[in-house]
Amino acid sequence: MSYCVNCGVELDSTAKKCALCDTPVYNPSQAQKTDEPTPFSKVPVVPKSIKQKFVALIVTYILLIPNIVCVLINLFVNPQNLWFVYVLSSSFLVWVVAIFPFFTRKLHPYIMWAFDTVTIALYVFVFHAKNLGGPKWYLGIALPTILIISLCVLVYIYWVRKRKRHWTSKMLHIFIDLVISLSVLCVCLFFAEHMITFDVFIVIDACCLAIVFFWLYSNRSKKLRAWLAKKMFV
Amino acid sequence: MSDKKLKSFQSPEWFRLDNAGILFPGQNTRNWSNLFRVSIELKEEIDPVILKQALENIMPRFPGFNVRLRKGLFWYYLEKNPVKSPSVAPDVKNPCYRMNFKESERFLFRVYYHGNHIAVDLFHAVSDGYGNSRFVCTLAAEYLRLKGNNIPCGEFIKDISAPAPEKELLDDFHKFATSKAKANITDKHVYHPDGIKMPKQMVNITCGIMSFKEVHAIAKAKGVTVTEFFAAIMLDIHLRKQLRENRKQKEVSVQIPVNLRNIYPSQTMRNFSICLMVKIDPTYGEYTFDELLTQVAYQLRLARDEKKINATISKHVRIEKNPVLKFMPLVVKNVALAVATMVGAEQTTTVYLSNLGEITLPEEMVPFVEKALFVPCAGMRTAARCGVVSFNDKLVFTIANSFKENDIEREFFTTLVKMGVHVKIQSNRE
Repeated sequence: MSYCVNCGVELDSTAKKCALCDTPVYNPSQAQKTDEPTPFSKVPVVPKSIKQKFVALIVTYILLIPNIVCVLINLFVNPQNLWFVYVLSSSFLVWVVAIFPFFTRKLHPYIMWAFDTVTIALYVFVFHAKNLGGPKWYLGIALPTILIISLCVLVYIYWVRKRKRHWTSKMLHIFIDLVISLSVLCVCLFFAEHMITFDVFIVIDACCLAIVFFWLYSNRSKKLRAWLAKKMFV
Repeated sequence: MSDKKLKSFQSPEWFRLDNAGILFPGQNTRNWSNLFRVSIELKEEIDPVILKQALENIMPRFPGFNVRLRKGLFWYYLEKNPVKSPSVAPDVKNPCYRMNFKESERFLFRVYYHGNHIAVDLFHAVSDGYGNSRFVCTLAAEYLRLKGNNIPCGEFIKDISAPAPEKELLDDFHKFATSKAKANITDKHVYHPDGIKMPKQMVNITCGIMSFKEVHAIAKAKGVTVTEFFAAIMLDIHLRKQLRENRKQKEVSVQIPVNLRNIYPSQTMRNFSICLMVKIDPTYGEYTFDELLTQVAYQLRLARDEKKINATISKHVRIEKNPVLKFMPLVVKNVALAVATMVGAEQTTTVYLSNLGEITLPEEMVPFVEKALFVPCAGMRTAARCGVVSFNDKLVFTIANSFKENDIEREFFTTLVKMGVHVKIQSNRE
């Protein structure tokens, strides 16, 4: 019989290392018994999960039905006002954001986010461009803001995936992204002469900038980080 | 509820779930089920063909196990399974993985063999440790009989030639819940250790095999029972771990199920146990091990008061009988229970410690049995869910841990070694 030199417990004759401290078993007078059955089976069971692709397909078909109905009603009842475009664009946005990821075998966050950005840009164009100022509003304010937010999110995904980050660094990054996005929005609003909304966003941007300085300081100060960890743990 | 009323719905064709069991199907998810394992290790290798035959032979004696789960409009219920018995399968590395009610011929338990072991993973809605240990022992006895040995009935072995008495099928929570007192069953949220979770469905099992007499002697010298002794060690480990983690100091608690058959004259084979809680608040200051032993012993003995236990089970029965809950459709109940489980499951428990006690077998069977094993299911938040069972001076303490870290196991067993207990470790870790 072998004993663990660290823990002092007797080990099973088939054990290669101590189950409590991972110390390898080395007993010159008694070789490890590989022919004996181990105390527990070595074959894990991973139960089959529900086929996500199948469920996603069913949801897609269910989502298609009201869309087809809307298109038909619109074309036959009131063909002058093409309101079905709104229904189609909303459904498409939901499908791309929430259902499309289940069709892929492996999640590629950058590709997914690129798809989402294109869809959101299209959705905003279809839904709001007409009501909120046409192509000028869209190309001058909406599109640059969407693109810059999307770029910030992409950088954030890359930065988080690269290695494990402390949560205060994550917060700092999020607020830096917010400041950049809001600044771009403010510049667009300034040049588009939307002065009322410009005032509002510049105040929000300034607040975010102040928060950035707070997180910047908390990232550098070990004492503040420890205090925050103690006070804000979940 | 009167006995007359009980008899009317507990026909052999279908049963209502007992008062404890009504929760478990609603809590069942793709990733977690409330299963537990009792296994018996014999001294010879198991033959699966004979084991299957033994299982078929004993099934009529256990009508409470010979069931499948069905959905009613308002409640789940158990219905007699037309299939004779479930299949017998080679053991798996991750016992007590999730239960799918449509698998395993719709039985609510699974039978495994591995080397010399016979193991039964049972869904808790069917029975508790008392019922499962009788089932496994009867199965092992029938297996040995088919191998040509003469094993009589008695102790944990049920007589399979006689039909199951009706008393074994009763929901005794309803029978004995008579208290009018209003029990307070709310608890504070307690400490849970940090750690890296194992992949879904995986669990680390570590067993410490030791001499019951050695442990009992130490516990007796300190004036406590074996369960209280183990609970105090676990509390000590978690209190020190919480201190090391340098976070807000929360209460540390141990949940200990108690077999109510020792308090009430019950012979039911269905669930009839209740969980008692022992709690230590570290904000009062640091507790020495002897102080912890005293605290655990006093708290547990106070909580074992029959009147308090009756008030608690009466409260549970009153909740089940509440007209609003009664007539709430099962779909709504399930959603509410799933949300409650997700948010509040194990929030009041740091350690789960279930002591099945000593398995006693007829003298003729003792030479064929090496030891018994009791494995609780892995927790959602708790790192240590412990099962204790002893047979013939061999006490097996099992820790089911859903975290990758094994510091709790290490501290627990090394503490025993330092006290002079000889511990042999077996694990499914690689």
